Amino acid sequence: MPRYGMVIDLTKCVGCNACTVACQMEWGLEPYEHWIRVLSSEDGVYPAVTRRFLPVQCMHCERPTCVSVCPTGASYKRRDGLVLIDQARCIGCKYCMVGCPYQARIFNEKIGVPEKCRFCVHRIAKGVAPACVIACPVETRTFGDLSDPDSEVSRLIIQKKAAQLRPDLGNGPNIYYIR
Amino acid sequence: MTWGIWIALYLFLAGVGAGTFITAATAEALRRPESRPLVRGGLLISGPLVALGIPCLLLDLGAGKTNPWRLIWLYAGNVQSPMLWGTWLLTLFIPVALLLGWLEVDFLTPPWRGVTALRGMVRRHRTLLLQVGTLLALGVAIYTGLLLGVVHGFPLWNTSILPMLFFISALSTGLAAVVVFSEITAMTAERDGVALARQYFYVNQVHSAMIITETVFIFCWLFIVANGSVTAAQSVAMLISGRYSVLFWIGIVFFGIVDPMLIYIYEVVMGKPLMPYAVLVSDGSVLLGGVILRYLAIAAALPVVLT
Repeated sequence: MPRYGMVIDLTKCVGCNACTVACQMEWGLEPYEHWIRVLSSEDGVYPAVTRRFLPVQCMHCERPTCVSVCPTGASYKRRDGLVLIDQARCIGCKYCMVGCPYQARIFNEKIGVPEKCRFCVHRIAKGVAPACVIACPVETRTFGDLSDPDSEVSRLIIQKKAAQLRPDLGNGPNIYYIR
Repeated sequence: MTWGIWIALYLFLAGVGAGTFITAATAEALRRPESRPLVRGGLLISGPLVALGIPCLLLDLGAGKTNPWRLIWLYAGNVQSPMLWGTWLLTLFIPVALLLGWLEVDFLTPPWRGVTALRGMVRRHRTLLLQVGTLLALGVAIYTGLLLGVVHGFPLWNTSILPMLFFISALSTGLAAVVVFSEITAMTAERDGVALARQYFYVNQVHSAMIITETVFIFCWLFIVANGSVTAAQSVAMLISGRYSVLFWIGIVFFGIVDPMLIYIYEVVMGKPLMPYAVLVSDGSVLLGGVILRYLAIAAALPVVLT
């Protein structure tokens, strides 16, 4: 059984938001709906300043808070690691949105349920990488099976010492970042 | 903050409703002569107050409003969820509270056999219902603090004192609601306002102890959280000096703490009520402070920093 995850190389990310837009196009989102957010921050004092970019989306955590707080069980974790929402069961209480420490979910007012990154579940079913991975012009993203020690993501994590975001929060996120 | 005024209102109503029940049950157990209005008032308003919280919850929902049959999953979906626990607690508590409140009124008793049989059954098992109801009320009063407290993404909530604060606030606002209700019903029955105010003398001393405890809890909550992470300190700053500072200092500190305490201390020191109907001011203020506390706990919560 695979455990899907991603590695994002922050040393290469230029904050172009191609991943954000590709995700919106893939899923038919409105321009104001973002399943990927690229956070930016500045470091240093002029003239030695840098800007850093941090793409954040659903981490499909090992111990997802959204799943443990969802009262109806609409939020669930699949055996292959994907955290998904059964929109036919969801009542829109938004406890999952409040519970996610990565603030990964947005509320779809039209259908009254939260939505988030789904690791392009329909694409990976056909063996194709998620839209954000393909769209990145500087190839910062790698998608694969974290439980396979020979997969590219697993090797990248070890070689480049990729780390999770806020591992102290205890959720066990499955997106790793190279800094 | 995703949650808004409806959830804040529900948190208040659940707390005050549970608190009125606990007040009534405690007053009955203590068997003091002046307690009878508190027992009657508490049982009368407890069920309706918590029941009023249900439409508030429903109004905040998304797809559950347009697909109400999905709400059945609130009972059987994911037993780890504090929201599921709350659904069960409310479902069990509200009928118990309403039945006991029903016993306190003479109307709403049509002479049907089923009604008379039910009323007789409730009367026979009144003590058991009070005991079970008290346990359920304790659950309702505490679980809302747990519901917020398990969310480790918001430092303002993820602290062990929050459920304790919500609990003491539920007790305090519950007592205030019972006092305000029995005072108003006595007023409309045109009884002597001064004589009635003397009845709350003992109650107000108990209430002072509750408010002092609640003040300590609020102070510790904000002090400890302010010494946590950057986000934690920012949340507290929003309350103390930021955009919610007016609501905090006037709503929670002045109305919730200072105003009632001044009136209670005057009564204890002078040995007489401040003025007729003074409890409406002191305990009405406590209620206002309780609403604002719940609202600010939600509004001032900031998510953890990721970068």
